[in-house]
Amino acid sequence: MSTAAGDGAHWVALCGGIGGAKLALGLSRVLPPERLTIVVNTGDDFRHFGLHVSPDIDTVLYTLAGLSNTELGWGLAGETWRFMEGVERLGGPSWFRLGDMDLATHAVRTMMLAEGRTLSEATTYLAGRLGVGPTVVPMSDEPVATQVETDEGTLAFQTYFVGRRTEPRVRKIMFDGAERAHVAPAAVEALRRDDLGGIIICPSNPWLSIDPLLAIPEWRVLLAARKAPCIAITPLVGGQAVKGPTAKIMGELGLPLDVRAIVEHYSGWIDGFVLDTVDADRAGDLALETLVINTMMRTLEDRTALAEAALGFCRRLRQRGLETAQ
Amino acid sequence: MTLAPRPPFPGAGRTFAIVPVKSLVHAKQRLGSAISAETRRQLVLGMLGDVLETLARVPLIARTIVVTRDGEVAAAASARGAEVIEEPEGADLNASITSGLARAATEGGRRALVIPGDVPLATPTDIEAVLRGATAKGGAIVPDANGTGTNTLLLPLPAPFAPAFGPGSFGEHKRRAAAAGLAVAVVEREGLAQDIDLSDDLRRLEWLPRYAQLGIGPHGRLDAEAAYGLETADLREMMRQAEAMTLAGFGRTVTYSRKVFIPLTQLCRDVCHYCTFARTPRHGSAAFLSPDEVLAIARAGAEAGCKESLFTLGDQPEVRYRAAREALERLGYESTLAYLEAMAKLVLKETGLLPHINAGIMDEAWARRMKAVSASQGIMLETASDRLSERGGPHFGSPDKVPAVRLEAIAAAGRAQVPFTTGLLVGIGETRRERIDALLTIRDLADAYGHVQEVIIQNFRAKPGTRMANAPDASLDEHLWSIAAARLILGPDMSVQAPPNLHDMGDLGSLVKAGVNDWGGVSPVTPDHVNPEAPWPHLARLEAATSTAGRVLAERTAIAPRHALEPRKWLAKELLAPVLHKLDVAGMAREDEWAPGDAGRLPPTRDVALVSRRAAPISSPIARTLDRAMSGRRLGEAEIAALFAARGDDFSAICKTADEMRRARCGDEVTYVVNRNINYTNICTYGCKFCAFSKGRLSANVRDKPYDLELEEVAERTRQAWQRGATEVCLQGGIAPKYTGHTYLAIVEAVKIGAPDMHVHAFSPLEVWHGAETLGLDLKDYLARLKAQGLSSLPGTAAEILDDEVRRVLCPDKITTDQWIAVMEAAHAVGLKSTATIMFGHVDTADHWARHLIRVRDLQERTGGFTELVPLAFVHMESPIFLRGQARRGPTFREAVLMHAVGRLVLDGAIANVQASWVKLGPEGAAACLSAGANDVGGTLMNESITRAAGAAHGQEMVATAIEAMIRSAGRTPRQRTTFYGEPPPAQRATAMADRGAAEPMIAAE
Repeated sequence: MSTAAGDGAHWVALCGGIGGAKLALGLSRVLPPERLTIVVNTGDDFRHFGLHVSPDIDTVLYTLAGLSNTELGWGLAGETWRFMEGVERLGGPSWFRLGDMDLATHAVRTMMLAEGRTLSEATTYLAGRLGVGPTVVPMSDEPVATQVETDEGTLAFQTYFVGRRTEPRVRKIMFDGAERAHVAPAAVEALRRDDLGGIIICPSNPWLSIDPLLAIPEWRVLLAARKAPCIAITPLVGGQAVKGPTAKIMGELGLPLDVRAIVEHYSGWIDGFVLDTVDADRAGDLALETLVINTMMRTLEDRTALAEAALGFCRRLRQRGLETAQ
Repeated sequence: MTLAPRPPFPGAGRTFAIVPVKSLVHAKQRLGSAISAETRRQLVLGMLGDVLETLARVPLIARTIVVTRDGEVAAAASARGAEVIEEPEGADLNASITSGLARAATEGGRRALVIPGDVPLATPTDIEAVLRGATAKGGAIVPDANGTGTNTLLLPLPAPFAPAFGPGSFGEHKRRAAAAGLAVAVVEREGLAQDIDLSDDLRRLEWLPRYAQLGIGPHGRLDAEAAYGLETADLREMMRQAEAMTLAGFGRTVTYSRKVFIPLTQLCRDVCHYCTFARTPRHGSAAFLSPDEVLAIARAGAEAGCKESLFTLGDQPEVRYRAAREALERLGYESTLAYLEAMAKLVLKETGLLPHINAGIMDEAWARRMKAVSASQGIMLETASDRLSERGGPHFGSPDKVPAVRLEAIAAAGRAQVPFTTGLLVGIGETRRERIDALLTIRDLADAYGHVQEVIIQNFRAKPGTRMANAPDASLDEHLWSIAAARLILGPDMSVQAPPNLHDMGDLGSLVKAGVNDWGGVSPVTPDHVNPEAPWPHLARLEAATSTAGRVLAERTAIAPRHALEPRKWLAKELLAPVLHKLDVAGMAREDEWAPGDAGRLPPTRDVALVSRRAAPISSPIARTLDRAMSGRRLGEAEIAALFAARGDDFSAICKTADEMRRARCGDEVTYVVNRNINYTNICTYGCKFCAFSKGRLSANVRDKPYDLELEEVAERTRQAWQRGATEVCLQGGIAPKYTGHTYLAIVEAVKIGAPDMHVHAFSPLEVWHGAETLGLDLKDYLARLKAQGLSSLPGTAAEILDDEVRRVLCPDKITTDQWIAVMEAAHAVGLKSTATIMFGHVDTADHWARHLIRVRDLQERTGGFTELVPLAFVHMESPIFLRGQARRGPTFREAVLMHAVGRLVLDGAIANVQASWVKLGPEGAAACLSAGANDVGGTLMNESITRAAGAAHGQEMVATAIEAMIRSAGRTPRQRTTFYGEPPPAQRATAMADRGAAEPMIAAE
């Protein structure tokens, strides 16, 4: 076990899908499972074929279980597609691809929800069956639906993201149900632990993956009253998004493609920011503590190295905070 | 007042209405920039819609012409059946009107009524008054509220002079009319005088929320981005919107709490630079109040009429001062909080005063412990700025003032579901932006847990002897800005409080206009300990200042009304009884000790005086509802519920309107029936939580023994009643296990044996349901058999509140709302009439009352079978649900009167009679209701057991002469009636008038 991880603290990671899951994997490799809680965006959740699909939770579970499909970048490794073939033969909707084994995940989750279990309970169960060690918890057990207001009208998230391949121009992003939603109990518990080491916002899309969580009042309260530092890892490297439509959305929202826009977006919630070596010269412009390091996670070693560095950064911030208080 | 259908008027078909409407782009410019173009659009279209609707309801108006250039206005006007002509290019208002007049003249109009599109308060009665006010060939003019402009003009056609609308037009129009030789009548109508464009007027502002979505988002409040825009917004515009939002959320009510202040300790571990409350230990002064001192203060408070004990104290003094540690040790408590807990419990138990705990930082476990001894808790967030805790800031060295620490304490209370008060301290060095930050943080807390019951916006006042003695006070404008920002950010439903003692009395009105709806605690006993240099203004002065601002002062308890309406969610079980016993239907404080059935207490004189006082309603929505009721419109649920919240002038106006409608419908006679109640058994298998009458078969209640009358006894009692002049027996009882449908048939037979001509008014819908069920009969078949046996009509009891939400709590195993309605519908169908009752004032809300009345009205419109509405005020004294601390003490007197008045407003035209029950209200209370819509006082009863079992002490009987005396004392003419409001047989009438009551109690069995 590394030094940063060896301090016995508990850690919370907030993440969306693919980009975030990479760092979550790194964290899961450097921390004992009982000291890591990974909170996952559920704004992307939707019903398809009557099934409850939680794309980001599944990506995290599959990634941590070592089952993710590295070729596609989503779904399960070694997936087969007989179900989709059947759907197509019957003229059903085929725009959202569900692999056969993936389908089983959705079916089991939907069954549990229909029995009255919460999404947290279903997630814990699935994580256990897939052999995922750390606690994986949805941001909320109540539905929060990301809606994207575009030049083509207001679209449900998956319609925008998969159906329309993020092509419409984004004007505004809304989170239906967020004001009435509450934080999942396991997440509340993790954030309120006395031994909380830090909160790490993974390099996920701030507008699509982290904002759904920040739109929930109780999340804002818990983060505002945080007992340990909160840091974010940049999703931008050299003015380009590492993954997904972050850069495109920033442009459409009229934001400069610059890490500073990310820091300003998280203003008030974060105590430190991790930016890539490529952007080292930007560190001086940011009005908070920074850590400059390679954030491109190509290999497993990249992931664990970034995880270690993030934990160490948090620990230094915590130390400094304690000194200031005394 | 016009109740009957209006006769056609000879001139009908010749009067045109001309409504000029400016383009939406320019319309209502005086409302200014804080109202968005979209809001303005909604406002203009909304008002126009109302005006057109009003015109359409005046038969004398043949056609309505809207003159406009705006496509949207034109479309909206056409949709409402108005004709539209295009405003001439470049025309001003008067040119537009002239083109409308010309059109009306060419289409054959004889007269034209020029009316603006922004007088939403205008009613058909107002319009008719103008039309009738004019002489046959003359005109009429309605001045605006200032008496200088013109709001409505009636001219013969072709127009004898050109219109001159604009400033000073009232005089100008009169001059032009005189020059043209036209006689004009000046008609002053309140509804037509009020237009909306001078928006600092309170009455007009009340319309904004009705027509326009204020702000953005699901709660009608500013989103975060817009909130930061307030930093540089114009204060007057902000206040205008904030006031409209406040009126939307709280109406005209401004609340306060009668509290006694208990400063348990003035030692504090913090050193805030502005504080005068905290002291350092001094020789000879005790660190803590002793239990005896605490109780002495609380008792003095209770004596003075307080309902709240406010425990404010310093933060954990034992951490800083040895004196505090030693004092706690001597008292035998491990911490200040443990001592506080014990003292709050003591005060609650000994005085019933509801503790509000303001003890600084507490964690979730402490919040839960304190919840069991308090009605609410609080801590000021003060600021969300860490900056103020830095060296040089006022919070430097005060560990409990770190925003994150306080935020966590408020969140902890939220998790513990504690009704919670928080707020900001304005002017301690924070910026406006930081105040917006703090308000958004409070909003997040409120959204996350729902527990924030009020937000205090307190202005900093420099105090001598503090480190900030020379710092400037927060200016009035800065305070107003902060209040308005709080209202706009927190939305219409959040209570916003400002202390009334930190400004000049003359400035209190501006605080209200900025968004304040609560003054917080007002103490009649001890000076306020946090601001000793500004003692609390006397209550009467506060009331006067509130009234000057156009509001009504009303008392609340330590738990805010909205939270008080969900007591099981927000209160520990230990607090349920002490809180509920102090509440009225709106979750506010009962302001007097009156309760239904309590013969020892006369109705509060203040409310009795309000009943018969002539007053115009101060709230525009109430005014509109009253007008709608008078013109025979069906009132909706929200409208009806709002009537039950009326106080002061609104209350008087409702009573007055109901009284006028009663007079128009029933005349000045007050009827009563000479009857006898026979409650044949009190054995009942049902477990209605409110009922003190029913006994299980083996009930060991000391008050009443189970009994079950023989049929011979029923016959004998009927015979006695007839001999004393009765025309009706009213029979109801418990559902004894051995009772079947045959039992009820036999009871009717027994009555007929006792007195063949006696009207048999018997069996609640529950008994009918039970009877039909036990015989396996259809409801109609069973009711037909009862009728054939001699049953004449049904009491509409067992209705309680016709809403299953209430019934689930009050009478879970009794028939449902739909079943009750089914029995009544079946009874009416077979020709059995019935009364309709409502038993109110226990666990119900005004919404439930409204729904009940609507359900009764709907059924009456289908069947016409109800003879009267009988409001039955809940008598609490012996009621099990009250004794278990789960119900209120019945309606307040104001609410009891309102039920009769609102019943009249809602049901007039459907149910002719409203009965006031002297058993519940006492003779004085019933007499007051006779001036508020009631026209009947029910029966003489001879023996009444059910209300008496619930603890009522108004007696079992009131003989005919006594009832007539009561009616005469109310200035009305008594008339004995039969059950169906006919004339009683002369012999029975003579016997009844000669009756001096039974010398002995008429029965021994009960």
